[in-house]
Amino acid sequence: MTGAALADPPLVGAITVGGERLLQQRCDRESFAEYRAAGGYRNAVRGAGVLRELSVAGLRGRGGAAFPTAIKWQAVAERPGPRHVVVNAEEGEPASAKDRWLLRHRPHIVVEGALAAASAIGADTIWIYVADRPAAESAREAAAELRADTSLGPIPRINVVEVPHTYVAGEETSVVRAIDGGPALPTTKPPRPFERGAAGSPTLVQNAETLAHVALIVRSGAKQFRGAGSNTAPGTLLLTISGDCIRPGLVEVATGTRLREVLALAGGVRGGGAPAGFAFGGYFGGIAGPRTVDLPIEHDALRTEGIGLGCGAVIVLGTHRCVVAVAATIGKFFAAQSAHQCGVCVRGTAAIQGALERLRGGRADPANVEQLQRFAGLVRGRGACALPDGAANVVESLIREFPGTVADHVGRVCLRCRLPVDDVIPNLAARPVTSGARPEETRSREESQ
Amino acid sequence: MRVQVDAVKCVGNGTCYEVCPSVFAIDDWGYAYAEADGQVLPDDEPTVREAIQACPEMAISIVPD
Ligand SMILES: Cc1cc2nc3c(=O)[nH]c(=O)nc-3n(C[C@H](O)[C@H](O)[C@H](O)COP(=O)(O)O)c2cc1C
Ligand code: SF4
Ligand code: SF4
Repeated sequence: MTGAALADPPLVGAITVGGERLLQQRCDRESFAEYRAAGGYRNAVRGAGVLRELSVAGLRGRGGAAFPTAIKWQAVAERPGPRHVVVNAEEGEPASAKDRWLLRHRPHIVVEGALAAASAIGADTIWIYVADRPAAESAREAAAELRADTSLGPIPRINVVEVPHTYVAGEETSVVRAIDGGPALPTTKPPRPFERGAAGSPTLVQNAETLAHVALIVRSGAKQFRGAGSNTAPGTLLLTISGDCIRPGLVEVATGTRLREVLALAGGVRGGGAPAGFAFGGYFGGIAGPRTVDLPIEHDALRTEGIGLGCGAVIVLGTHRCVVAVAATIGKFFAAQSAHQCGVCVRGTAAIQGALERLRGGRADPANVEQLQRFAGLVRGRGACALPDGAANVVESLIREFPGTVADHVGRVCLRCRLPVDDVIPNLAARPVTSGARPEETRSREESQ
Repeated sequence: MRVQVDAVKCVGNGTCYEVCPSVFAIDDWGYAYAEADGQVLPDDEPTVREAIQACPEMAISIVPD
């Protein structure tokens, strides 16, 4: 099942000096000619110079882990070729919409970043990896537009790979496996893609937004890039703000911006009052309390508070929401999205789901809360991928940020818990294909060059 | 020496724990993991190697430095 088209996220605005870098108020698609006329594909920096500039820029990945890009590129570049670059736009977090917005509306800024990466690390193949059909079509068109223009000189092959939209399909080893014709399911590490990736070659897997920032770094330089944002994680980042706010959509902010400002830009909490909390990072980063509005939106600052920024999806939970119901719904999501490859993940996420449902249903005793915490500790770091850690994050953040609410649920039925939260905690259409699936069922590959 | 249990391969028959309980533990669902992030004290190395040999799924490996 490939090719589902998701809703197009509206744009909310920007909070950064100098205005938007990646977002543009547009409903249409930026063509090659338009992008070029606005200064695209004219980068003076190529080859090794890109890596130097990137290192000074201090760009960190926008796919979830905020890993320094220059270090990853170096690791791929120093291994013998051939090498590959993958644009990871699968965007498995259900509440995130930034990568599909970029590919649908500004495909060339992403592709230019991928070309710069390929030139820096000496890669001869670029893969654009997507789940969203309109994004895939836009990427294919971008590749065709580039092919039709000879002024750029020789460029790497650009292939578009479409996979079903599942949570684990965007994990880097799933990406490599699907590109090679297998199911989009994680494999045990090591080896990581930088060691052995697509076709067994060293492969740079980079988030689509990360590469869009690269395009601006090669165009305007590291100094300009560092002109916004914090010192340790500079630049701007895209946030998808959703849930109980008046104007959900995409926001571009300088790192370090307070969540309070973003919430104000999004029109504040729907229904008024203070938020009950926020679900962070999509679902992976845990649930944070109302205090979060005064924290800077920056990976490291949030990390020290036990919150994961992830790929920048923030779900506002209105006053009327019960965070236990939200946690139980996210717990159920992780159990359903387990790829059923690792025993500990299958059983552990199901156990967490069950225990959270118990708490939501007023059927938990104090020992069950301890057991829940124990389950979280038992699954962390154990799976072939980090999906079980996502389930652990939800549990641990709930108990840490909302101890009073959790205690109130022990042996007591909460009426607010009965309200469904599916409207703010959406599901995915597809479930991961369990191992043993035939490759043809899970991918469609378009060679565009 | 550091070891890891491959979660995809482990079927949870508990052999590693029987052979080397000071390093391997069994979770609530029967699957194995290496304690202390897989760090093995020199004294435990011989029994860990035995457990690696004994695992029917070849799920235990030494993590390269
Ligand atoms: C379960 C799981 C799902 C992931 N899904 C995505 C995804 O949809 N998109 C993405 O860019 N990275 C995803 N990642 C992170 C990738 O493995 C990888 O680190 C990332 O694409 C690297 O890009 P970056 O360094 O630019 O962030 C996922 C990781 C895990 C553990
Ligand atoms: S940890 Fe879970 S989701 Fe990840 S590979 Fe194993 S079974 Fe699949
Ligand atoms: S011996 Fe192997 S399969 Fe059995 S529990 Fe230990 S690691 Fe798992």
